[in-house]
Amino acid sequence: MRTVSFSEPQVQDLLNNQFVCAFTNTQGDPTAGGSIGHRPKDPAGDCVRGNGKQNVQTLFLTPAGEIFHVATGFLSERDLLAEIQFAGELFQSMRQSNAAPRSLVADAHRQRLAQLGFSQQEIDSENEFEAFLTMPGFTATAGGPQGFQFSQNPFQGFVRARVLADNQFSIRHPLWNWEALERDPTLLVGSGTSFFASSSSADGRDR
Amino acid sequence: MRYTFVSAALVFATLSLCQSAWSQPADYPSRSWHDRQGQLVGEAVFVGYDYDSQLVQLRAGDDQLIEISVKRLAPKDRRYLLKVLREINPQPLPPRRTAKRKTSKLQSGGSADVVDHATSPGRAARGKMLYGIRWQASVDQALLAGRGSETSDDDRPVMWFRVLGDLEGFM
Repeated sequence: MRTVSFSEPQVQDLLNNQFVCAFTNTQGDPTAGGSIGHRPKDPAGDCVRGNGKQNVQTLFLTPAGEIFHVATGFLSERDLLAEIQFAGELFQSMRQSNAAPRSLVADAHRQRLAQLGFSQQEIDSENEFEAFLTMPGFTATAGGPQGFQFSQNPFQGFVRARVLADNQFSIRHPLWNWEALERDPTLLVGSGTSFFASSSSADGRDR
Repeated sequence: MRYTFVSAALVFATLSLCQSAWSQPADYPSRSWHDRQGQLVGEAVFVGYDYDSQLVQLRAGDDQLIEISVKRLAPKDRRYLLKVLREINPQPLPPRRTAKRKTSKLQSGGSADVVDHATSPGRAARGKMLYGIRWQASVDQALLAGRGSETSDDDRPVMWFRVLGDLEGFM
């Protein structure tokens, strides 16, 4: 993300002029995933949106430290730009509206999911895995736990489930304090562990 | 060598023109300071804050000086600190004064310390340029920079990138 997604001029322009940026190295955090070390100059490998949610999270905060939008895992330059634009517009709405900020944030994410084509049932779904199975691109067939088959794009279901879960986070926890997340990010990234490696990983440093 | 010289000149010029490293108030009342776990650090007066090291300087009742990282302070004390710093420096800092330099290195993955100030909307926003983005040293610092002045409506949201690894090195 650092060398590809942040290299998009529009991303740079928006982030430098309309946002203030900070980064945190999550190494040592028990919820952080694992990764083979990638150098800044390593060529970027193929990656699917949402991949490595425990390795990378992009969060948007009000200046009071309230989280009003999140996107977990890898984001391409196009995806990152879309998330930044949405966050920028939502922040402006929060400043201009008289509505209760929490309701406004939750409603904005509900509307966004609806515009992205998610059904009301999906938006209200509690279980990420359940939602994953109902996604286009994922077809359940008879044959027990191993009887699932991909149809068309095998990653479509995964990506949609990730987008759904990220936006659901802001519906369920609008304006959550950033320090609470820093203390315990499991509400956002879960308690499992993931490992990330791209095809360009060359140095073999494990984390 | 030339690059080092330009950076050093930039640091000196910026600090000279804009502010000292320590932001110091006149007099503030003694109060209780707590760490993030809620433990009492002590009864002390706010003395100063160093933006670079992010150390808060306090003076205890026995005149002993205490330095504590802002990261260790309880949320209530951080809010107090923000209020104090805004009182010390309520006006936007002067516009950016930058030395001309090549930017291609930054955008291709190199890095450079940047000790200048954001042009718009005018808040202090020292930081480091990496991958074409200006990064603040911490979320606290970003939140501080995102807060507009009392007299204008120039708040900016914060983009917080949590990532496993070093943004400048291996990740």
